[in-house]
Amino acid sequence: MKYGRVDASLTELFSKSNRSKSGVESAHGVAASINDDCAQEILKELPAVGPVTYLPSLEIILAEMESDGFEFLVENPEVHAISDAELLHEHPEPMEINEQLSHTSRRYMRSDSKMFEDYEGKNITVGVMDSGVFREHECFGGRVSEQVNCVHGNHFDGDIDGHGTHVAGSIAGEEYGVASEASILDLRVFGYYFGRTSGATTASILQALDVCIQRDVDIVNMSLGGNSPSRVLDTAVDTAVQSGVIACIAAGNSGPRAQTINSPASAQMAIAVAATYGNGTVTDFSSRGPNPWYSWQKPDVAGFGSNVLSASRHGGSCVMSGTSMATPGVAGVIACLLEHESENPDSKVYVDALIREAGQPLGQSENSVGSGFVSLGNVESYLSTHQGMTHLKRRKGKETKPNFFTEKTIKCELCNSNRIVHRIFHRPDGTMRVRMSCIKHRNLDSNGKLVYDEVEMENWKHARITDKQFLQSLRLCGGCGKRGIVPISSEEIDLPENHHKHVAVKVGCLYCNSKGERRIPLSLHNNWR
Amino acid sequence: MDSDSLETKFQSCLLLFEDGGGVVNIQFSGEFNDVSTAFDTSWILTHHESLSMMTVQIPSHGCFSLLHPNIVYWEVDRNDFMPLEESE
Repeated sequence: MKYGRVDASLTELFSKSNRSKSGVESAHGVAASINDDCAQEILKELPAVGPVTYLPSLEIILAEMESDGFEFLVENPEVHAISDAELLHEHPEPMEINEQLSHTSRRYMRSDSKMFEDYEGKNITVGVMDSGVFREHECFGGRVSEQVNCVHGNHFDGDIDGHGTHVAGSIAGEEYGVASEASILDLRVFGYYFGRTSGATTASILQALDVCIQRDVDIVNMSLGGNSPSRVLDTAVDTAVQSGVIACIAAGNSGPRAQTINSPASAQMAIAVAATYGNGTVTDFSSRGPNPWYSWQKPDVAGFGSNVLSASRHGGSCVMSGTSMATPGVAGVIACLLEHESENPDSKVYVDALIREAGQPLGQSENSVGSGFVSLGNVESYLSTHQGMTHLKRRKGKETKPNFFTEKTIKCELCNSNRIVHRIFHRPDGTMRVRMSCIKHRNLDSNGKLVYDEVEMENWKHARITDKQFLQSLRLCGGCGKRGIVPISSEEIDLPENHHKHVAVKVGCLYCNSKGERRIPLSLHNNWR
Repeated sequence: MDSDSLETKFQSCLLLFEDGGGVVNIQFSGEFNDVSTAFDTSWILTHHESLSMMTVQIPSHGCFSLLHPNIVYWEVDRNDFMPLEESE
């Protein structure tokens, strides 16, 4: 075989049957992945026992054959892989569901909330980035979209694995889901390889995130994870969140060891979800922080993820465990909160902040459960002990209140994104000059040096920049445009006596590792550090 | 060594070249049209428009196109992202 693989069990089976020469009894069902171009030729020449089935959409041949047929396939360069077809047809026995141990996300994640009793995620769309969804399941009531296939060259509509259907059920399934009126956008990122789920590629996940942004999806549920960091993927998740998609991502199942959270859950703006039992105590398998790759804390919150009862791809229900199962519960909670906040123009920013604060840790460490177990009941009690929802609204409104500086100066005229402030020159008469550049629309002179945009501000009162705004603007990185700049070391600059003291701060970006220097007044230096 | 230094970027391209090229995911700054000129159009598999990213299948002789100044970062595509279901 040119490339690919043959199931070792098949090689052993056919070598035994070859030796025993037991005739038709040695025939065995085989599935072979082939090139579509050569299908007719292979079908004609394949020495099979009985009829041969070819599935053009999957580019797979199914046939019963003896050792000569098996050897024909092994030696044919157009065959990519050979597998045991009889295993593919085995459906697992339906699990006996223990009613005492298994419960739905709906039961634990809504937890008798009165404030959110009437909110079921109506008019909220949740993207389910997974193995597909069995959308005909009765629990969905027609609220699952047509499948968006993000897997290159792998065409199949539905869910062979069952994972995606279970996840979607915990979000929006009528009996199982936390938000039983939310709509689901089915984004398939897992491929199928001989009926088994194959890993998702970074490219397919990027494509799915792109679809989420373009279709204005409210929440994306990513019950998936990798084994190592991916800067591209983490950046893409952050971009999606900045574009208005709340990202709920499974923290991983590599616990209880510390520092076991990987991409994409490690992304700064992701809501990384740990898994707990129904009583809110963390499971052993749930990945633990601190974040091994970046300075920010992970996981962010925890949800119910052990023996979760939800929709099965065969119809009916089944039980699964994992941070995969905890994540859709949290996504469902967010969907209900978004519906509740539907009249708030900043609902997503507000709910994103609220969900990160409203968890109940129950005495467990931040590295295990983040801010703690979140349910609608916990959010309600959080709000009642923190002067109600208006408390957060008011606080957030104060921080994001637009002013002359943020609206007219910082924003780029061409793309409306934040420009990077390089320096601010204060003058004794109250005026100032702001030197800045846009990451997307920057000009270089003939020597390749950056040409700054400079804005003169005559009326200081109208262009008031608080120390906090100035210090935050320093965190914008010129390399990647993210707010990832942190100070590394600092040194006071020698200036004549009549000048304000300034400090040259060597800085580095947490996202792209680029290095640079910022010059800031000594009076602000300690605050920034 | 700085992971974004020219030396590191060059070494990454060299490694990809030695591997015979491959599928890479690219994060870029500026306009897509400026960056895409660095690649043959048949190499570009997907432009993730809203993310300022693209997926490109680069043959070995095209690896050094990844040194284009508008390319912020790139990674070889991987396929190890799995569903996080756990058997208890």
